[in-house]
Amino acid sequence: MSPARSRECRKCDSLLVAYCDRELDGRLRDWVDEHVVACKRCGIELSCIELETLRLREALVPMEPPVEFTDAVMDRVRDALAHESVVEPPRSLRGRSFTSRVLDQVREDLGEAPPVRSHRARGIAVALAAAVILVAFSLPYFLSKKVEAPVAPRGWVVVESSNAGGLHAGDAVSLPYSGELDRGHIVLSSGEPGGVAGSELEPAGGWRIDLEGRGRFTIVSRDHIVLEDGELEASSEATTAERLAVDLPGGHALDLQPGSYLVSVEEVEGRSIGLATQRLDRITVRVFQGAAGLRSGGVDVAIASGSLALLEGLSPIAIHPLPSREALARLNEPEVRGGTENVTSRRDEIVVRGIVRARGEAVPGARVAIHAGEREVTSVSGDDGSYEVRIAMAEAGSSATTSNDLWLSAVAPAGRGDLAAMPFRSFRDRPAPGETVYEEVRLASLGERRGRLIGADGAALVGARVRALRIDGFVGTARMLDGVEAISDENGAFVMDRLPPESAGESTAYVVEPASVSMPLHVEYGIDETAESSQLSIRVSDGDPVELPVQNPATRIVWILKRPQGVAADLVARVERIDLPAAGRSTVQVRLLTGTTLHWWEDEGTGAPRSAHEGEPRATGKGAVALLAAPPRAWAGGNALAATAAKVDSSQHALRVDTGLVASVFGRDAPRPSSSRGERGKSAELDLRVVGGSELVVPAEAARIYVRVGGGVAWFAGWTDLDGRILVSDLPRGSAVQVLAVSGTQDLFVGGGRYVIDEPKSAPHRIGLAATRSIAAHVPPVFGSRLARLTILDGAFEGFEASARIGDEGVLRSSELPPGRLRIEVDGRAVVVGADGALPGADAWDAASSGNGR
Amino acid sequence: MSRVRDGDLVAFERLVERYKVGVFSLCFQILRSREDAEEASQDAFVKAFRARETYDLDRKVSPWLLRIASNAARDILRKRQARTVVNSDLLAVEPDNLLDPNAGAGENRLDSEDVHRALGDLSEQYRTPLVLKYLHGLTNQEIADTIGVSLSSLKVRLSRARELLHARLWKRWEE
Repeated sequence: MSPARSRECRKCDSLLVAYCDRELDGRLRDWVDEHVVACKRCGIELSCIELETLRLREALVPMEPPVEFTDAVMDRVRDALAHESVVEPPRSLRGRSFTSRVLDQVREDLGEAPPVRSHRARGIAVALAAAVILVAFSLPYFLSKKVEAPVAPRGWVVVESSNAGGLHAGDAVSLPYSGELDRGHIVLSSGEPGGVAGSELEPAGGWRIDLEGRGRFTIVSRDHIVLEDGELEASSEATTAERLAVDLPGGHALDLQPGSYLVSVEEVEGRSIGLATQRLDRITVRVFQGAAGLRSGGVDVAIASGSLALLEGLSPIAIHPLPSREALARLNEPEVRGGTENVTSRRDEIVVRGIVRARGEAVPGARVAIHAGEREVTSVSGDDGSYEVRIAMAEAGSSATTSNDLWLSAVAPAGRGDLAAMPFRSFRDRPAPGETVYEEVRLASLGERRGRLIGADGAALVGARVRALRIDGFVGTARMLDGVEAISDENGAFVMDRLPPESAGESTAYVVEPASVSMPLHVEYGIDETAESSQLSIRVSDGDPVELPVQNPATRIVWILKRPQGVAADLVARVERIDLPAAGRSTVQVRLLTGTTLHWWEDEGTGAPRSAHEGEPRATGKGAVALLAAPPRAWAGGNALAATAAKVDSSQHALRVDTGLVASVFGRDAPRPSSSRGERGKSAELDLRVVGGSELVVPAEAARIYVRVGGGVAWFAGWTDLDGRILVSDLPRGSAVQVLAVSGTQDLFVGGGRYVIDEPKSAPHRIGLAATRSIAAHVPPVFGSRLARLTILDGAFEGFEASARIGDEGVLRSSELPPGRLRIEVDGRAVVVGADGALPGADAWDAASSGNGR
Repeated sequence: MSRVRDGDLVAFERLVERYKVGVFSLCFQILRSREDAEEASQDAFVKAFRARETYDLDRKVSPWLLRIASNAARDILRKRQARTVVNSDLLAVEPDNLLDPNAGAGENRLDSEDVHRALGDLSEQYRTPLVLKYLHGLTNQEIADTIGVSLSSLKVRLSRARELLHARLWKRWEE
């Protein structure tokens, strides 16, 4: 639970699965669209969930039953039919159970009246009548609220659905209401709009509780529900402006403070809460806004806003009945806790004391900080490692919930480069104002990693850079560790030290970037005295010149960076023309991969090289210099020129470099946080083996390629080479990729297709292109929304989607749209624009067939 | 379907042909055994035929049929759990090892086999909604109707199922 994630990120996190399943309505979907573009982390997260969803669909393949299946079924059906036809009751009695139909038939034959079915049925009738009356009484209230959902006045709740006797959807019941379920379900709601998690997250107020199973329950008031006994499974979703307390059997209680949350109390091993064991095994609380608390005697868990808490394995030992009022009152008294002595704290402050240790020994000079919201109070540990921090809660806001927002962090003293900082963590015992708590701080040792880098051909990779990528396996995100890197030596060996320990749920992958080196290329050039600009043109083979403006004519240095496709293929770079304002020598620096053989020759403007040399070119005289750069052998074939993530093959202790950012993990060998015995982080040998990337082919040379994985961020991946090829090696394998290509000239092209990246080195993914178009049309002023969803309905770009805003003047504008019939949806109404681009009038807008227009 | 309601066997045979793959697939995903899935699918169709008069002609066939199938599969699951309770030692063996002793070694990708295996580790109450959603393409309301829970309860189950699946997939990568 990192405090760095914003509330928006957490909201986004809760919506991503629904987004991938196309279940969000237009507004929320647009919100996610915008957020994942702005937030790279959520973009990556979305990619992961999209990948999972894709794989889930692939894993669930339809299965053919055996060939004789239908015959076997029909044989059994004929048997059944033969038995059924022995006693065939009149059609009027069908639809009830077979036995009751037969019994009723017998009674009818004997001249008896059918029995009144049961007391329960009578109860249903009474309840129905009561419900009708209740609804009639509350009808004026409903009408006055002008909302679609029924709204209950205070003291009433609404039945949303039920298969329990006596209650039906739409009934309103007065409180307190006691009910009993017998293997049924009932959904009760406070009847206010909003509160449906996943579809509508406006904090309009209202809650909904869903009870399943068997057992008794009482809705005491709109903010107090009691589950009394039996095997009830309860889940609740709510956005409420009020507190909602749910008393569970066995003295447990859920205390949901104002906000928005989704709570599920689940069964484990087939037993729901409320059984005699009184086990509360698993609770999931997802809080969108506000805060929630679980209070169960000794366990008192606060769940902060925007977080997901998964509480598992709460055993009967950990769970005790709620303390008495007297005990609670005592807990609120200021007192000394945590084993420290002679320390008292004021009622409005929290005192945190403890010792900083590393490998079992005290660490003097460490800086310990308490973070309370935006505030931070620090202390430096003394010679014996002890520290004390006091933070006045009055300054930070002294409500009890404020202490939920307390975090602890620590930084190792200067000179202890072998120790890692302790990232933010919450308190083991949540302190309340007026309390003193004891928190031991343990600083973990930094780890070391040694290994070799081996190319696809088995040769050592020299001078390559290795960086560490920390992967949060649970969230599915990855981040590069700043300042942790190593360069491989002439044998491909590298040593990476100061590797911070992994925390729970994290693992480390390694990113290998090939070596590069700057080679000075001294060029003596001719002067065009009349030229006004400083422009260096380089012709790439026979293609169009790629203009590389010289930013600073005084230094005259051009860096050609990250043109992997250019280098991996045979590149002929010819300095065609140099127009500089002054005569003299200039140096053009070309950044090439280590091991690249550089050929050069002089060219006097004929287009054909006169002579070729190896080594550092020193052209003299007028004319141009041509260069031929052959890639180093290890990289031939276009492999792995950009950053690639890697994974250990645990069986061979080798590392495979794969195409995914989230590619993987070192598992057992990874440096772990130092244990209480004080072991230093482990060091282990590993091999890194480069295998490849994913190649895209676009029918346009020198086109800029933007790549978007899933619904995530579109990033600039590079330029295509003369054959329209580009190697994009950091695409997560299995991901759906959308490609936008912009040609080197002013014409725009869009590749709207989605491609699934499969095995590396497979055939290139070919991407179709077409000229784009723009639209600008007046939208009838009948809509509340300012956002339109655009979908291409046919042609090569069928399914291409974009959003467009409607301006204040009611004009909808969008550019870079591919060809094809265009569907525009605003506020659940849609219109189709034909090839001529003319927008039909207001009467042509129909209700969209689905909420999302899909 | 109206002909099926009237007991027309030819029409019913067509219905079996049309829906047998869907029904069998659902039963297989619940039971993870072809033999048990075949038994459950047959039971489901027989039960469907017996219950044909309760079918509401205004509603879609597949959720109705899948509901019967999921109940039939669960019946078999209950019987099977009762049978295997004495073999609890086997349960201590990691499911991955049972399926594939080499699983997890050196593979660096999330493929459908991983998901298939992780799905198998989920309990039936979480697996079935996922199957109905991602294999059969039912709406949430249809799934809720099919497995006999409320819509909000279903949402909680689906959400929990995806979380469990996500956590298990990543746990395997860390091994």
